[in-house]
Amino acid sequence: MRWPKVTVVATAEFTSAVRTKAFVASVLMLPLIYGAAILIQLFASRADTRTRTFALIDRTTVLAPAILEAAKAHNDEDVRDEHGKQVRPRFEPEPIPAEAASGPDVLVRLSDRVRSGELFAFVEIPADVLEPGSGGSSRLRYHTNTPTDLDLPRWLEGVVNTSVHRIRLERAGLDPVKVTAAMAPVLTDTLGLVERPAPSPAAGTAAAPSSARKIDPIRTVALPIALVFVMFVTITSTTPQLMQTVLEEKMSKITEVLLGSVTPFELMLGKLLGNVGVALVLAGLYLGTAYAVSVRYGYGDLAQPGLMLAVVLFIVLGVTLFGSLFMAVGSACSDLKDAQSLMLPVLILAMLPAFFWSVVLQGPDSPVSVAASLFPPATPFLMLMRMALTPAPPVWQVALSVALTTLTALACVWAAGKIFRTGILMQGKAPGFFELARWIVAR
Amino acid sequence: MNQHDAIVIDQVTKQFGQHVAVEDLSLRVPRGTLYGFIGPNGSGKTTTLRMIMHILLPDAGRIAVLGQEDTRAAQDRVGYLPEERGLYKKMTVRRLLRYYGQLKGATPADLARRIPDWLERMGLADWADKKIETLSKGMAQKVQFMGAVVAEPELLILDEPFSGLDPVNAEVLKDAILDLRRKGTTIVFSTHDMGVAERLCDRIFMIYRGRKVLDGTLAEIQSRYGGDTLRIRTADGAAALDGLPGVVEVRDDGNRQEVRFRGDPQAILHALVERTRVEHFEVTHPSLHDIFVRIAAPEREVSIHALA
Repeated sequence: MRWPKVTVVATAEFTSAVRTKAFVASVLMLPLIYGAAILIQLFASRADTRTRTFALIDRTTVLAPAILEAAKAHNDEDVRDEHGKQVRPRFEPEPIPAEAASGPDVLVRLSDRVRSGELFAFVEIPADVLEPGSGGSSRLRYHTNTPTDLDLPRWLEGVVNTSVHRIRLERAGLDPVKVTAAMAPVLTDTLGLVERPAPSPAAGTAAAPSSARKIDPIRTVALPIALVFVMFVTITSTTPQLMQTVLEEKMSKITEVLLGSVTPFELMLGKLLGNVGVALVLAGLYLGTAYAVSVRYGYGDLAQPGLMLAVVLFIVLGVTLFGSLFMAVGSACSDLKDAQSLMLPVLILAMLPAFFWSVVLQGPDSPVSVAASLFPPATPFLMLMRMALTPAPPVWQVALSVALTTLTALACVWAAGKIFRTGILMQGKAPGFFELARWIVAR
Repeated sequence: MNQHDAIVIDQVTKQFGQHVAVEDLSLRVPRGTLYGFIGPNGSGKTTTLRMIMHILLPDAGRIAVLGQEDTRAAQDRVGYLPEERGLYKKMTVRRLLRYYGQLKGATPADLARRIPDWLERMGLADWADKKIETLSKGMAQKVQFMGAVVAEPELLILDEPFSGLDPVNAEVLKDAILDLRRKGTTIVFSTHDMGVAERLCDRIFMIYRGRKVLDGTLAEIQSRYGGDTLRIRTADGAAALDGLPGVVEVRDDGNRQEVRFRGDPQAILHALVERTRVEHFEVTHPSLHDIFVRIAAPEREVSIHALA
């Protein structure tokens, strides 16, 4: 191993990579991602405020006035925010008189009016909803052409239920105010653990335990997801490049010039190191921006040195592992078409951890999460995620995962080196997996 | 190990599957010589050169380069121009030469001085900061050559350096090669152009079907094949030679014929004068081209053995 040569290859690889369109694109993606997030926020808060006009067939005959009144109250009070800007849609009920509602084709005619856009929806309240205990069998019949919109049906359900409860209680001779007070729900606050306070020097006075912090979704969910996302983007946007450069060098016959100067292993190692550099720069840009934003919003303490060190370590391991596999694919093939079919298994291996993200998020210490995060190709993503979650993984699991991934990465580099050595001067048909395995075990 | 030899190949065999590319080959290339490798396509030239470069490893036998055996210790002192040219299309000429030079261990400071010199000399000074993909084929080939020499190797291996070059560029390249030899660089190159091999090389090595068939100076090789050749120019061209007694074989070059003969050349001249106007008549050694064809043309395989 001649390190100066490895360095020359790594430097050339790095400088070439940061000049490619792919790298520029992934850097430009950064503001795009943040921009898109902000835009989505804006659009999400700007709800669809078109007025919902709906026909109301009230077969109980007693609920319609309450609904009309509630709609008026909603339109007067809830539609606009404190600045007078409309943030919720107006609800305009159109009661259908009892005589008109009894015709056999009334539902058809109302449906036609919804289709024509005259109405947003129509709702049928069965006569028996007021019977106590009828909830299971008797339901509101809400007809719409826009079933995904939930504003109106939810509001209706709430209004109808409040009125129905009140009427049922009254009919049963109970005081609705007292019952409502008695039935007020008890809600849950999810909290972290309590730390034992440092013993105070003024002996005797046991200091009060620190109050547990309220769980903040940004700390518990956003950080691990962001870390895994950055990991995923950097690894999948840099390592396939290695396949490309190896293939390009092979197709344009550069490899022979290079092998006249360096060993295949030096060449491969240099390329891997160059790519690790690119990945670290990319991750640094992404995380640096995220850090700047998080400091602005008071989350600067999330960037703990240990976690950042883990990010760097796992990027090095992940790029080495996947990079060597992609290079093996590139060196075994003679054209892009062959390479694309042969790279699919490697891509799937890189995608696989994504299926476990939600599992790990919900149960960081569940057996499935532990097993998945110890599976070497998934470790850079999932172990990192677990480290950002609570309960944090035990040290032995982190150490074991790093050891396993390091060994796997080295094995990949070794096997890729064998394939590289044999494949790099080969032309013609791409080898099958059996043939590749033979190259690996060959002298 | 003899320090006077730049390359020592000792009983080397290389096989690809069932195909024997190089068989039991031994060769010494003394330091400071300009050695020409000739042989038909697929005869093992490139395989031999790649083994010298340690890109391929021999199945049997030993190869020592610049006194170093089985290691890459000498690699930095050897420049290599492969048969299949390879350049990064997106790199500028200067950056590519710097990269190829650094891979051979040249320092950035040395390269900053040498690269402009070489570009000037090869007539590419204006192209230093252009991308390779904008270069013509001949220019790219000159860049490739510079990539092989910019680290100032002691031994230079050139696989078909002249193929695809126009006469002007071929002349530039030839001057550069001769200049390097004057400065003491050992140069091995393979070629299909027998004229180039005859004019430039100190020694010539021919490989055929993986075996060495010729090795020596041009004079040694020609004398081995004897003075059995006539170079003739007549008013009637090749037609004048039809059925002439003593003529074994005629190679028609159009305005000139090369004749292999048996018997007395005077008798042939006499017979020829009676047929036509003789403008040129020379008893000579067979040309390298002729020797090459005699060895490599399959239907004449018998005659090689007869001669050998």
